[in-house]
Amino acid sequence: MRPINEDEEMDEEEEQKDQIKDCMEQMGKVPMPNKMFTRPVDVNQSHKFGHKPPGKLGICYDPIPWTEFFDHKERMDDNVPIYIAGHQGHVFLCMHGAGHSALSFAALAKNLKQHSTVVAFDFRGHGDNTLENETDLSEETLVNDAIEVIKYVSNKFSDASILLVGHSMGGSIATKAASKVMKEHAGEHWHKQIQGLFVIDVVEGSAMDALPFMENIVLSRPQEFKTIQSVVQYGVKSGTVRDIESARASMPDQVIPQVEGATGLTKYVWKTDLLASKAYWESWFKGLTQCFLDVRVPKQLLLAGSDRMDKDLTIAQMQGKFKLVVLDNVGHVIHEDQPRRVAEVFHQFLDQFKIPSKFNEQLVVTSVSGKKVVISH
Amino acid sequence: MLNILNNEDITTLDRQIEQLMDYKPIPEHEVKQLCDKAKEILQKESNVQPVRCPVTVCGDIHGQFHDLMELFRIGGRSPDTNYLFMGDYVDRGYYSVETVTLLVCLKVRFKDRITILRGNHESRQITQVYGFYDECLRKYGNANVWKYFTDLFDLLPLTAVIEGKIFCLHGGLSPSLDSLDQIKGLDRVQEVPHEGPMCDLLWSDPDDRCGWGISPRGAGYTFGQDISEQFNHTNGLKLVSRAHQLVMNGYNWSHDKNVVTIFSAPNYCYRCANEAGIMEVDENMNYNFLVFDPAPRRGEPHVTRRTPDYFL
Repeated sequence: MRPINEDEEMDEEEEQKDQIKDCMEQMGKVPMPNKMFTRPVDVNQSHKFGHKPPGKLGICYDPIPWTEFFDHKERMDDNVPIYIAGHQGHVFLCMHGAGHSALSFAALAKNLKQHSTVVAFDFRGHGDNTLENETDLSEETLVNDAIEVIKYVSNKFSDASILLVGHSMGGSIATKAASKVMKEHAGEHWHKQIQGLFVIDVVEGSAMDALPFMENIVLSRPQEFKTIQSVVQYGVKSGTVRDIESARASMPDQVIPQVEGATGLTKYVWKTDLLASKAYWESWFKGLTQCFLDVRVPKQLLLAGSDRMDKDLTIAQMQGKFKLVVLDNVGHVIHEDQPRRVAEVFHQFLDQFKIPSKFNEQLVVTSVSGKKVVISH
Repeated sequence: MLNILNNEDITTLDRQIEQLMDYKPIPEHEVKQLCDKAKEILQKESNVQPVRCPVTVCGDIHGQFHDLMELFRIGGRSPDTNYLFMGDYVDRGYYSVETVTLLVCLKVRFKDRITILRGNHESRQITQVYGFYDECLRKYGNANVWKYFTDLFDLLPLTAVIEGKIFCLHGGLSPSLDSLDQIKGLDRVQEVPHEGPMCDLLWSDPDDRCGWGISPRGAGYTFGQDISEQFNHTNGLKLVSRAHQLVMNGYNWSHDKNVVTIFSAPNYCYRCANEAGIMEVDENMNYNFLVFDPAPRRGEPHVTRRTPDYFL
């Protein structure tokens, strides 16, 4: 999340992008094989989900149900909601950030599910999770919860390669879970299914630097909303989510309705009490860099700006320990802001690291002289 | 050997070199002329360019122009000292334009006394992400200079061999290539591809594990000591000298002295606190390493990180 920035000039940014694009086209040079400049969702298109007439400027803030993005929802142990999109290829197992929910990955799932399977779940105290002790968001509890889901998913898709994806707090938990699985379950068949780790916009050093400011950022949010549309609108206007379709999918899941006793009116309040989790914040991120570097699977760090790198990760990156991707014109929730571009980045990763969709396939390269050379993962 | 430079060219180049040493970029039309001359020279060079000793071998510079000046103070000025640079002149640092222009000027002025190889950052795609493209726009107001240089990068040789014994390149070995002859046969005049032998030479890294491995970078491969030993043996080499990876002490031996990594950008990205190194190879093919710290700065923006406005 981030505070409202009233100076945010989306139109100006768009214009700038167009200028750069024009400049590149004039040079006869296509900048990247992937699309560098994906346009935001067409508001007229997204209107088709709306029930009410669109508000000012024709923008509709009505929620879009999860069924538009995921194919199926089930519960692990009756408590943990698991959303699944697609039914083939690699499995992307996604872990959301603090205060978000599985539906943070809704728009990304829609962009990936044609060739891959996307699985996302709600952490305890988030979204539709009904586990007790919902305020226990300690690092240890979240890592153990995550490992249970990894086991469940590896059992359900028993021959698929699994790629762990985590955003912000979820990125740190995914990394720590992967590290713990590699250490404590090394002999077990299922841990070999983990073939990659994608961390979205979290770096230990800069997270630690930012923590002292987080309380004020959390406090600066409105504490309640009169309508569900105003929740979505807040997500967009505050710059938290820069894609309207993503916001309509994810923001409603961050709040719960509350009926006021005196008036009988329904209002919406944040589902997760972030301030109550303050005691755990440091533990979520502490040791992230070391864990990230220790996990010996192909790794990708996706950042919303290169100034988010700290010293240790800059050194590690320059030693070739992981792949860094920096996207421009995105906020912290990169996969919601630019789901199509992030899906392209994910596909590129599978391609570059030659990760087979079935985890036990062998990779062979043919040399110039015709010799077959086996590459180990 | 035919010299393509007339007296006027020499006067111009000497003036440009002096101007650059004073941290001033040369005008756009001069960059164009310079790149045209450099193309004539580079296209005659081999994919495995032969180099004579004595020569001083350098790794990544990454636009840290102050430190390149320090490098010349420590290693000796060009052409008094012969140099072999193993790529990555641009991106990350604030003076990519000055750095690459100076090295190309020196190449054109003293072509037999300096060799400049291609690094993975000498590429259109990478320079658009990591700074050189933006720096060209900022300093010239348009992308022409970026285009002149990136077109020139396509002609840079991929590797060099000192006296047939020390194989120098930016990244490392490729599972597709067993011999120097196979490298000579590659068509190098193109953008660095996403995969294949040319990509591997600019992207691969040595590793503690034996055999070939998938590179954590997502391009090139990792290669073990068995691979380096076999390659050196097959090609009658003593050593693979390469750059591409930051090493805290400026240089680092690996694979039982079959491979050395040299990194010449001290305090990389203005935050890594690493020393820089260069390798002097004398007339008897003995090596000596020189290590240096960041040069005193002038006119360089102070690096501060914005307070992040995000997350949990």
